[in-house]
Amino acid sequence: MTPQSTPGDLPGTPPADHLAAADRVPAGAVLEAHGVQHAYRRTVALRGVDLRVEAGEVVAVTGPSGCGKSTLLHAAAGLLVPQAGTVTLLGRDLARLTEDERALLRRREVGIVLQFGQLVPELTAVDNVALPLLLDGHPADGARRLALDWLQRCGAEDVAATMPSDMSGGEAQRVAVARALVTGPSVVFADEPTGSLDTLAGRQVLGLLVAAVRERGASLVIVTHDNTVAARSDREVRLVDGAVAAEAVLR
Amino acid sequence: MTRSPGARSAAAVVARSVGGDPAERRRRRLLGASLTCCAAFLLAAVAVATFDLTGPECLRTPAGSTVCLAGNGGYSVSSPPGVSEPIDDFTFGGRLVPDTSGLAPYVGESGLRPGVVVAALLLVVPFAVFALQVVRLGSAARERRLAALRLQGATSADLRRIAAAEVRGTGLVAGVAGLPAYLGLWLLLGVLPPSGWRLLPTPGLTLALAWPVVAVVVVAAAVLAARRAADVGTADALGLSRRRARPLSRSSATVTGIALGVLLLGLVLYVLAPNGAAAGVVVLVLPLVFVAAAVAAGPWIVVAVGRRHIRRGSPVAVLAGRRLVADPRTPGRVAGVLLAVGLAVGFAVSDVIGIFLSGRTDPYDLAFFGGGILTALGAIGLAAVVAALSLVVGAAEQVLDARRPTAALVALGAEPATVVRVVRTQLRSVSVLPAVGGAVVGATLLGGWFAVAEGGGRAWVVPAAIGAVVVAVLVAGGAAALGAAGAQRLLRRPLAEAMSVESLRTA
Amino acid sequence: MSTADVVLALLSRGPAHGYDLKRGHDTWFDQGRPLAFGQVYATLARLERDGLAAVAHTETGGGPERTVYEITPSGRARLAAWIDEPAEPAAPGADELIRKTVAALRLGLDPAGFVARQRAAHLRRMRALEQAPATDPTSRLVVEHAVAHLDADLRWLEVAAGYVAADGVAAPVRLLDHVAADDHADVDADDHADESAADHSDDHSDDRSRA
Ligand SMILES: Nc1ncnc2c1ncn2[C@@H]1O[C@H](COP(=O)(O)OP(=O)(O)OP(=O)(O)O)[C@@H](O)[C@H]1O
Ligand SMILES: [Mg+2]
Repeated sequence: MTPQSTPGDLPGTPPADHLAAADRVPAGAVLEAHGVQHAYRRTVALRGVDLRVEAGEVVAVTGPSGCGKSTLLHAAAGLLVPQAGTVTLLGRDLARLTEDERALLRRREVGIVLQFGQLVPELTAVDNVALPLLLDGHPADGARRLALDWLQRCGAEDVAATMPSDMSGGEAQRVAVARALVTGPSVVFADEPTGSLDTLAGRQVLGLLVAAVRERGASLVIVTHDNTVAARSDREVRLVDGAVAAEAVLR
Repeated sequence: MTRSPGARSAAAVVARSVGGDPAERRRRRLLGASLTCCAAFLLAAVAVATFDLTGPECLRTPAGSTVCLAGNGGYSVSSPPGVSEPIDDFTFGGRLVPDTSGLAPYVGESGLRPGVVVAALLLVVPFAVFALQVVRLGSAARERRLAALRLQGATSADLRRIAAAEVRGTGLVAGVAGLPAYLGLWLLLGVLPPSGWRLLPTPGLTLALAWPVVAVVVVAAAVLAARRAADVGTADALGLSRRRARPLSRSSATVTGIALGVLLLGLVLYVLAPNGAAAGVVVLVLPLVFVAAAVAAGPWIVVAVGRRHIRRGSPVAVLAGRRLVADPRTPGRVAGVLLAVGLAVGFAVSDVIGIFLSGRTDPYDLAFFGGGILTALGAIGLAAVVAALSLVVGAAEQVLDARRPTAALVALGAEPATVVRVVRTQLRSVSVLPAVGGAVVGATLLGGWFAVAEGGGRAWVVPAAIGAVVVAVLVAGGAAALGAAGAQRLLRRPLAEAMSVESLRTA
Repeated sequence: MSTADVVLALLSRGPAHGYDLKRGHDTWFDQGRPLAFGQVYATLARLERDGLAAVAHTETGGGPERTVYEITPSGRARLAAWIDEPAEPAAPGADELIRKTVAALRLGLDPAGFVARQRAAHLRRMRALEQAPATDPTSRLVVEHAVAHLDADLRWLEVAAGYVAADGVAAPVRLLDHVAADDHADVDADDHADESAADHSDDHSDDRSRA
């Protein structure tokens, strides 16, 4: 369905393929959101937000609690269809895709990291990381090997055989980062990926995520409360009360 | 310290304060209903078992007179108006038929009655499994509450006491409600059916005596189960933030081993002395032991099935398998009940075929066997439905509990259909598989026995036995698949809610 | 930061001459202002006078004559005492950032725009610091300190932005409540200002007249 990867064709081993990955990134905008509006029952979460993310760009979305950051991220990743406005992700208008097509797009070309609790509790770290590949029909052996590679890169090889319930928060987030990156996504969405970690662990996880994304030439949209996280982005988009209040190019 | 009044009052306060929570109220209603059914069937067993103690043994003549044996060896005859019977030991016209005061023959005849008592006791099992499911899992919120208490310094003894306090009241109400429930059951099965088909005798004094005993038994069982459920592991302090797998323990292996050992012993006894007095007892106790063994072994079967799924390697199978292995107890017990149900179906189907094979098709025999089999099928159906409901409760619980990882799975790119397939695989593994397995074993055992005993070398006996196996598999497997599909339907909403993006906002 | 104490600290690693000390200082604080030669020698002279450092010997190989200094026992004691004493937390109020923010809010000169621009500037500085190559472990630490300060400023700016975002009337004055809680006269005036929009302009004129 997607030209970039077909089942049976693994996205390559991580260390050597960043050039190839950079090649596959479509030129121009990876994400274009126009006039996105969304309300939950009575709360208006987004009132007409525009957001454009270029290929290879790291964008931080910041703003006070409840300003609609997560809602925007969910809309951008196709997890929810906003009530008004358009979202074009990797050249595809999300509103026109079926739920399954959106799932497939996420699985193959999008990585997602949440604040916590995203690992399948019944699977070991390595199986969790291999999961997107397995769901895509890749042979289990290759998927596991690649997963292990990524766990190593993320400094989580020690917990490869550990269940999520027996990991520390930082270890679980490393595994989550590995899982988001294992398919070689063109864009990664992260919602407070370091929000539940202490400063040092948070910085390590973040450094990992940003470095991996930059190395691959992929884009990163990161929702955060943490200024030091925002300072690592190329551009900060500040939401206040469901609208973009300010944008700052940091590069 | 563990008996301090402070801890006790804390238990009471917690038990009372959570009463208002809607999930908790629903849990109590479910628990109360299932315990009431347990009590009602226990009372039914008592009623049937004590029925003949109240009156002499009577027979009926074809003309309608009743001949009752007196204690001193004599007999008395009472005839309907206009009928006169010759008073002669051997000349009652034609055959004597047991008088059962309108009861079905296998209830009325003292020799067959123990079988009915056993059946009533067996029917307690699915309801007990259901109650256990409700008590044990409760709601995730309840588990977190226990974990929170634990964090605040409650000892595990305190937790057990609190959990016991939570079910004691419900258990008592259910135990007391057992009698009205039994009376309802009696109206349904002992009054409404035509004479000769009634299953329950008119309530007598023994019932009133048994009532408080049954109530106490029900409360005790509920409290015991609740105390065990609150034990460490379930109410781990870590339970607040993380849930752990609850693999099968050595003690559950021991229990399973003992149950299987007793079962084997019974079978050996029966095979060695198929006609002795001991064999009669064994035949009656064997089904109870079998069901106990099946329920004990169920979790191990589920683990084995789960492991097989994991080895199959497809992500759906692996996810389903891991989930089964992570918490095999509750689905395992259901699987055990369904295994017994399958076995019973196998027996019933072979039995029907056996009757026709043996050519015992005169009206009395047909009424006798046909009625028995119909009743048995009804009971089997009831057990299956209750088992399916346990399955729904357990699976809904798991879905609710796993809603954040489920939503994350969808976010990561699993199609919703994939998630649904995982749940379906889980449900089928614990329903269709054991039911079919039981049906095959049951139909093969009894069908094979018929083929040997009744076939007399006739050529069509073996195909008939094989046919019995096929029919049994179709009936049991079909019913289980239907049950799983129904469970799946009931789960559609919680599952859709778990998969929605809102679930990413839950803890 | 007292230069004398740092020079003493550098000397405690072993005898060194002026140029060594300057290099050591600039390595330790590579994001800060370099130490001037004149200051090094002046400081060394002062240390020698106070008996905290002493001349070890004079090097004469090749180039000009160079004096090598070493730390004295009382110098070591002084160094230990310096490390023992925690640094004075920086006093608020003297900072340019606070002055500008307070002025922007008080005068209503596009405070939201000011906060946004200031935030961007801080983030850019933070990003530049984060990207500076870490030459050695402690120089990374100095960077971390700067980042932490910038982060603290940003948080404070967020509080300021919150006052801007609330209804335009009460916002600026409430911030001042917060910043200068001991300024009672101001607080009283602010309480009145909270009551109606009409008071708002009065408050501004107040400010202007005071300014
Ligand atoms: N399911 C929901 N039902 C009702 N209101 C909701 C729901 N989800 C979010 N909201 C509301 O929508 C608004 C935006 O929520 P959102 O989670 O996007 O904010 P956020 O910026 O991510 O906040 P935070 O920084 O606290 O995570 C909030 O006011 C929130 O209360
Ligand atoms: Mg959020």
